[in-house]
Amino acid sequence: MIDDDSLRAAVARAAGGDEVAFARIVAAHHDDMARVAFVVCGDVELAQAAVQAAWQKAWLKLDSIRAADRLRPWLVSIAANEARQLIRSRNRRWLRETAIDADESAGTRVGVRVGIGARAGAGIAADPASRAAQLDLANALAGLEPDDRTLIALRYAAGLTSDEIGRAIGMTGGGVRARLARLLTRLREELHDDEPA
Amino acid sequence: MTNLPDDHIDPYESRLTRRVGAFADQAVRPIDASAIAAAARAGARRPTLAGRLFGSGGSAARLGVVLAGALVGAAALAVYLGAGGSTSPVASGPDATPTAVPGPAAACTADQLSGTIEAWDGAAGHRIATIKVHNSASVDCVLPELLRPALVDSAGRALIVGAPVSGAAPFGLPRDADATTMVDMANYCGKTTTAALKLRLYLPDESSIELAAPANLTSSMDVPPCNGPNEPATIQMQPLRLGTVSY
Repeated sequence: MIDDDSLRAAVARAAGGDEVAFARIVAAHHDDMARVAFVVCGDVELAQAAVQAAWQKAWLKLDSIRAADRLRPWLVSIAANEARQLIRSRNRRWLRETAIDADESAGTRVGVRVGIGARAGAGIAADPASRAAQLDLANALAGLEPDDRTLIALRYAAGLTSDEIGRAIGMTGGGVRARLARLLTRLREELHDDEPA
Repeated sequence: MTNLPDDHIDPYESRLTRRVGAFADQAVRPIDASAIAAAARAGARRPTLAGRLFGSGGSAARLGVVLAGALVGAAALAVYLGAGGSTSPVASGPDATPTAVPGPAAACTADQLSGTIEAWDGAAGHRIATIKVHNSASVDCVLPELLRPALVDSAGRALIVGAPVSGAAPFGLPRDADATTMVDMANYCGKTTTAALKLRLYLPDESSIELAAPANLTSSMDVPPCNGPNEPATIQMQPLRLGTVSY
């Protein structure tokens, strides 16, 4: 709901220390950042913590944003990076594999949740088929390296172009596309998405 | 839901975008943008002017320049005060913290205050209004930094009324100065209204001021969506701060 001109003005004022303007930016982008962070770390609470940490960094560095259209890619990439750091920190302390509870009444399959997705239950889909699909995706994402999950998050949760992702993570757009192509092949097989929906 | 960018890599992307999008939606929670912004600011300290000047490469020359400037400023202030001048708070940028107006200042009355809605944003089931309150009198006045807000329709009917406020810190509003803040509203499950929305702020003496939006903003303003009819509607404001908004 915040238009480009308002956003540009808000960025300028926030960079000058205006907390009210900064709150407008938070309102406009927090959800996108949480979605990206969640795909990277698979934990709602961890994702929210990552986004809060990302806002601290954004507050410090907002004056480095020269063009308003760079703001969103920049913010979601900070959130992804914070989530990656938090999940790495968590993996050092926690067991990586956690057995999932059997929930036959809900029709979900019994399997193993691997790190990511371990605490995603609060907002998980209610119907069994969607729930199983989300669990499959959580497990497939858990099998990826954090850098690859970051690529998936920035592309398919934030909708960034390969060039925007490249700028955010220090790769060329072509390199991003090649890596995403390999990840697409892998996920399509693991999720059985090559079969008719 | 995420939109797939135009630089397509593989036809499978659209299907994966839907799957990842639905998965990622689990992470979306109602937020208090003002609280998050305040926490970010509190947790992150920007380099101070002194830090920038005297950081790792600080030099005696720069220190001398700043000290000399400070001495000149202090001398000028002393001369000004000696000549009978006085200082009073000036509406500065929003970084200024609420400060009591020097000397005895009366409580602000509804007659001397006016206000406008400067922006109306939507976020995660909330509506967030950025508002400005102006002291149009020729004298400074004091009001609580938190007031009881209400969302009203164009006929003045209250749609959501905030809880009474007690124990709010006093906020000095100099004459002809502006204060700004945000009002956060959520979960309005009443009758849909298409009339122009306003905000009402109740002063401690139960009088109130109404804040309307300019015409170009009114058309895009709507009530906060109903998140659950069994949950109460909420409206609350953040503390007033000196300064203006210019969106």
